[in-house]
Amino acid sequence: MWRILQFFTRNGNLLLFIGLEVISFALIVNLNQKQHKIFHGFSMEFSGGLHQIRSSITGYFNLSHENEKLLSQNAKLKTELIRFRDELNTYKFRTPLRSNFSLLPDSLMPEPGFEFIPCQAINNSIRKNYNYITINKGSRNGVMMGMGVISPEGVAGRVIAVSKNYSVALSVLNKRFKLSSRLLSNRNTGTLSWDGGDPYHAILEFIPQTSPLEVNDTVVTSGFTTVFPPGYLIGRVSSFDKETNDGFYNIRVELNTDFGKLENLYVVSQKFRAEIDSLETSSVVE
Amino acid sequence: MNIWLRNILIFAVLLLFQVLVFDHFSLFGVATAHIFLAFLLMLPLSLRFPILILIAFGAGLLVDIFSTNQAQGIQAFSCVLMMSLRNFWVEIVTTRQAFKGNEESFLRFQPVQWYVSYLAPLILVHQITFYLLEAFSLQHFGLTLLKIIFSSLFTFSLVLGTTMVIYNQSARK
Repeated sequence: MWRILQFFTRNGNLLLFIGLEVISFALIVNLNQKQHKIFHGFSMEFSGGLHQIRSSITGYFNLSHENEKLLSQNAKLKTELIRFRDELNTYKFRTPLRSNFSLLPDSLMPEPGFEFIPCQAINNSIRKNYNYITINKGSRNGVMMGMGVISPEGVAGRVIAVSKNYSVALSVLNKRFKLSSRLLSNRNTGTLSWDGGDPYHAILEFIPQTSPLEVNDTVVTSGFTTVFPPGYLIGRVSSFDKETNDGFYNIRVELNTDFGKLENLYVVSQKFRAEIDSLETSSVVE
Repeated sequence: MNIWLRNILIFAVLLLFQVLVFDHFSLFGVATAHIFLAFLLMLPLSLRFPILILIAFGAGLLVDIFSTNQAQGIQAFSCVLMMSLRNFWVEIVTTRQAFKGNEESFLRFQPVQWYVSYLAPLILVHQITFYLLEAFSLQHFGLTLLKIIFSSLFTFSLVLGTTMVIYNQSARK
């Protein structure tokens, strides 16, 4: 203890100098818009670079596992493709005149305007109350603020900060994350959010108790926003009860995405997003 | 007059000049004078280091607050850097050229050579820090360099003039 005191008295001048400079630097970076932007862009590039190095090293250890997953996904998609092709052929035979409508299920229709930017998660947490995902694609690759992020298994997050080569997304496992979602069985829409703690489950609110509901019902994105394509998988109802007095269910949703193993992701970009958003804001009269 | 009161008065006058006149006035768009540096550079040599840089920090911060067309915190940073180098620099200059006069108003009796070699590098340090922090990137470095050079010259001549005026005034009393 005495040594520490001695150190401070001996180097007091230096410490005071450093302290004052740090304070003024903090003022510069926080009070001025231009300096703030440059500094935070730089520090984001820097930490993004570090994470990139780390994940390029640890990425090798997961390659075999990743391969297996891709293979199984591939196989699943192939079988699905074959099945749908057969189905299509039978319909073509049966109703040659009406083949253009009421034929294809939602999932086969290419959603107008949606494009997917493949990317990798280079940093990700699931243990905190406010979790974030860092992605190795940035404004140079077309990523913009507010775009959705999906994994092959389900919804993953939403972009909240973008630098040139990297971006940071709010994970679904973040208390600030809200998502408009829909029950596939009864078409009711509600809001999905996360209450902290358990990284495998989220909460679905505002589903009225008047509608029928069963465990294992599928929860998908509603398509009311331009952030995610409609009908994209989120998870399944794992449990529910009616012990509320506001007329809505208490629903727990088991998330289909395993956030502990996030690796390959896609950023969702909607070509007409700006048009839709500006139309909506301009037409709302308060 | 009390030396503290005198210095505060000098600072107040220079601050007013700085904020009301020189901040809105730049030669050829590149040269801006930071006349209030005269106050810092005239502070007595007998001041202890912590007090010295605290004064520098406070003065810089005040100019930052009152200057509207300049980024915040930059003056504080560059003033602290400049004044922390001052005492070392005085020692270096004094080993080459003899020191005359007392420590309180030490600038008054110095030969011109001492004067210039004391003021110029310190002002240059301040201006380099100031304009690098203002640009905060090396993108338009040519312009930053022009600003540094011309503002240093402008500030140097004004500080020189100001100190002489102040010493003449006090000599008359």
